[in-house]
Amino acid sequence: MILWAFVFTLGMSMNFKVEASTIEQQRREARVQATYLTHLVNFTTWSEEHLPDTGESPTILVLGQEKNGFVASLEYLISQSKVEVGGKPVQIVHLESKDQKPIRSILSKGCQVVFVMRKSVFRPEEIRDLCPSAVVFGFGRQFVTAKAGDVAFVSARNRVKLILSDQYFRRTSPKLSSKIANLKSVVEIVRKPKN
Amino acid sequence: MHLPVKSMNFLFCIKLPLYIFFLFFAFFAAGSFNPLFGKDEEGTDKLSPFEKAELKKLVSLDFRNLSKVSIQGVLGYDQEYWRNPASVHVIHPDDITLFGYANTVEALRGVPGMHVSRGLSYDNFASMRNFSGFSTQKFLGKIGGREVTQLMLGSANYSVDDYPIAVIDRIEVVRGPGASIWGTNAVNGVINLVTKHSGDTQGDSVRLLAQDDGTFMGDYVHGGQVSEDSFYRVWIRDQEYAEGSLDSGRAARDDGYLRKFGFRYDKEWASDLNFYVAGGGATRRLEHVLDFTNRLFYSENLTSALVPLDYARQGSLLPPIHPLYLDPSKLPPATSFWSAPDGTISYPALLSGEISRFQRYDEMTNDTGHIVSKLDGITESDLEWSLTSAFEKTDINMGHLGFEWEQNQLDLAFDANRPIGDSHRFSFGLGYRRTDLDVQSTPLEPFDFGLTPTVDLETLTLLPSSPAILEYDQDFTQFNRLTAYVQDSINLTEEMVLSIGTKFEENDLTGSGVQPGIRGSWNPNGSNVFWLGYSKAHRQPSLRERYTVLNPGRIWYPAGATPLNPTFGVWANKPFAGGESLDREEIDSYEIGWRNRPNENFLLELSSYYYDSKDAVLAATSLTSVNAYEAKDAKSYGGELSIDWEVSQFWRIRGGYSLARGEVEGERKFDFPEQTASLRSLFKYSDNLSFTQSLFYADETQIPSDYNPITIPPHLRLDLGLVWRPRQDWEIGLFGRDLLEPYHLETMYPGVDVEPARVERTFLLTLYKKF
Repeated sequence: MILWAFVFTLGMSMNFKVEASTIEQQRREARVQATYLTHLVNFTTWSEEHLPDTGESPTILVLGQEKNGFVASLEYLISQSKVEVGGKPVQIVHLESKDQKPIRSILSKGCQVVFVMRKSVFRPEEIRDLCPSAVVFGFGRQFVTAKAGDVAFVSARNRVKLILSDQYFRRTSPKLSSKIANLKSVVEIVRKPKN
Repeated sequence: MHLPVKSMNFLFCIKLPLYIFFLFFAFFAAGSFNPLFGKDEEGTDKLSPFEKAELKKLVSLDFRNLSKVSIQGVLGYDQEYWRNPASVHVIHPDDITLFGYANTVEALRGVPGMHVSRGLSYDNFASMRNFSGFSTQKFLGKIGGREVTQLMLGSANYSVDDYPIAVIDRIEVVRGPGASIWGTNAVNGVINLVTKHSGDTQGDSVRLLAQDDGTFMGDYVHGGQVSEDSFYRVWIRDQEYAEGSLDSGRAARDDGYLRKFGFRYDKEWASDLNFYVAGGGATRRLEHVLDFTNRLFYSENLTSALVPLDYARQGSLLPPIHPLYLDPSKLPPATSFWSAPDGTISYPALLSGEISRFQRYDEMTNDTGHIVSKLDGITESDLEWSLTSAFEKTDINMGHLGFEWEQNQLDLAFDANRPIGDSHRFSFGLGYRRTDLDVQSTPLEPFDFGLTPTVDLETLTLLPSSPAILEYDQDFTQFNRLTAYVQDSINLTEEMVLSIGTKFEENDLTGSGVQPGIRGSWNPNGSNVFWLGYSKAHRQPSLRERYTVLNPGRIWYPAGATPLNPTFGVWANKPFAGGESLDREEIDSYEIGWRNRPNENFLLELSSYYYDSKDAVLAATSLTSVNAYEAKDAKSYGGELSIDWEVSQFWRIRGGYSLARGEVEGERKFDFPEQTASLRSLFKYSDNLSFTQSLFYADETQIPSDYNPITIPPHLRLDLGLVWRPRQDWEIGLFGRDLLEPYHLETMYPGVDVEPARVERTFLLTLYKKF
């Protein structure tokens, strides 16, 4: 009886499209994303001109609201792993406000990583214009393929996948180690979109 | 028995130690809701202690392994997930090398609920949660994707199946029955050794161990890249066992060697389509003893009692007027083996308290090879699947018993899981196993009495030759097993997870059966997880238990004692057949557990279990038994407490305590230590220098025997280690083991060994070059 119930349920379920996940799954996804970001910062090099002036800390800027503990995870990992950029400890700035003025101000002062949350109105090109020293992270494949972001997280098949722009490897700064480029089963590398 | 009745048994049949255990449980659980003890962080942007601990684990993963982390954890697939409703202990390679363990089975000493004991130099016996006996292991062993629990003996040889540390990713020890997903024989738990992807073992790695008694082990692993998405590794190992001593100080004759090789090739066809093929071979050459001391008996006639022949000989030396006098002419002529005893050994039942000691050593060989391949992927509809095939060829010769078998075994398995809606994850699978055996038995020389005939006492006929000690029923050499399972992991609410499933099995040994299981966990806040589980698990009797005939001794009947020998004395054989009627063991098991993490640096886990076994297969211990093995109803219960505390970034402590009680038909048994405990400490003096300390305690155990049952006294073991890392990828370790006493005893094979071997104080030097 139990067997037939299972078989029936299975048969019915095969054509279901998976919708939203539970809060715990969303939080776990955020923890994996924060870990990827921490690793990628460790594998990225910035030229001198893209590093902050003496006395200032390299910055990871997170733009937009989030509720899954991504920023808290990132803060925890950065402090635990003692992540440094250019020999200096990294600071995290999280701006939830939709007011673009203060964000533009911070971007124009320079930062090393910008993480664009789903609800943020900023586009990668705009960020790069204001802050050429930043690696720009976001969500969804199109963030890299159509919007010229550097790194996108894609959640599919119960895993978090990385989509990387080939520019991230090719440019001189900020530049990702070629070791990551060789992990082709782990990351998908896409070419810069044509204008 | 109905479930409520069993529940009542569970509540009321259990004695004081378990009540105390529950009291602890209640005390800690109540305390955990105290805000000072378990801080509850409800804010959405705050991390719970479990989440922080998981982040520490995630950041230690490289990109490849991070890409394999599942978002939705599934029981049976993602063992380390903190919401899992099961007791899971994971051993990582550092836990082995930093504490000076030579191989993986030694590292199981630190797992609460497990008891590891060493017999001879090459034997480490692992048992879990009681009733593991001395050779049958009532847990399922999986190594490198293969089920290694052998059908013939019902156990796995973890020394032969071991891997170099450099290729081991982790060892998952799941305590408690997990039959609904793992399958038959996962009765007391599962040990699953997972090897690394070849891409994670690139370059060269060497590990050398030298012990002050001459024991040596060395392995070398080389990994390389074939193309951008394919990798390989090859490895070899040589292990030389030095000779130890028996309890009396005699040489144990346990020196020998084990040589192994292996390979693995991984191909990543796409980001979610992977393939690997792995294989290896091992050859081991050792000697083992068979105790013949209590294998010859004397009897006046078919109805009189059996007395040891030595007892009768002692009587023949008495004056004729003595009541125990025996006419020397009634005794058998001594053959060359029986006329040359090797000293004496204790025999409390005899007047002299001693008996002539007879033993025979012969070669015990093990040659094995295997190949495993696995293809796994994830489809667009989120179906995670894997197809595994394994073939293993084994040739084991127990020369000391005159028993050899060659086994060919094929396994095929399909496993899959996929989400259903928001809150279900459905797992299912199919498996097939085919086993072919060629078994040979050889009569041993001590039972060759020349022209003196041997009588079969069962049929009262003269036998053409003296039978072998262990004979196998040749009608049973091919076995098929078909399995299927379904399991649903359900997120009932954000706080409650339920896992329900069942395994179906059809096999040539015990027919068809269903093994359902249900487990649930409740995560009331960020620092506590409670779980409950019920499972019905099966254990197949091993082939030895069912189809072997044991001919352990011979009885001398003087002339006129039986109708067959009116004028001459005869040797008679009393066979003890295996139980062909032995059915599978069926175990109803209940478990409760609590996992508490007041902060990310402290983890406490408390679990308690009750197993009610029907038809538990146990070795018969008396010469009056009809069969070599008997099925009896048994109960076992107990609990485990484990603690993992990172006191600071320099100091980590891990400890465990286990209470285990067993009863067979109401009689308490002590073949498993009722209490075991461990306390291990890792102190990092500097970035490249670490001190390790391990303290293990095992309660008394009793080893049954026909003539001199042995009590293994409780023992405390202290190991100390100093590990220097001159470079990030190098470790040089110096370890002192069993430092508290020159030697102690841990176990022996009853009926096979003459006396237990010493586990001696040793010093070990290790050199490990990591990848």
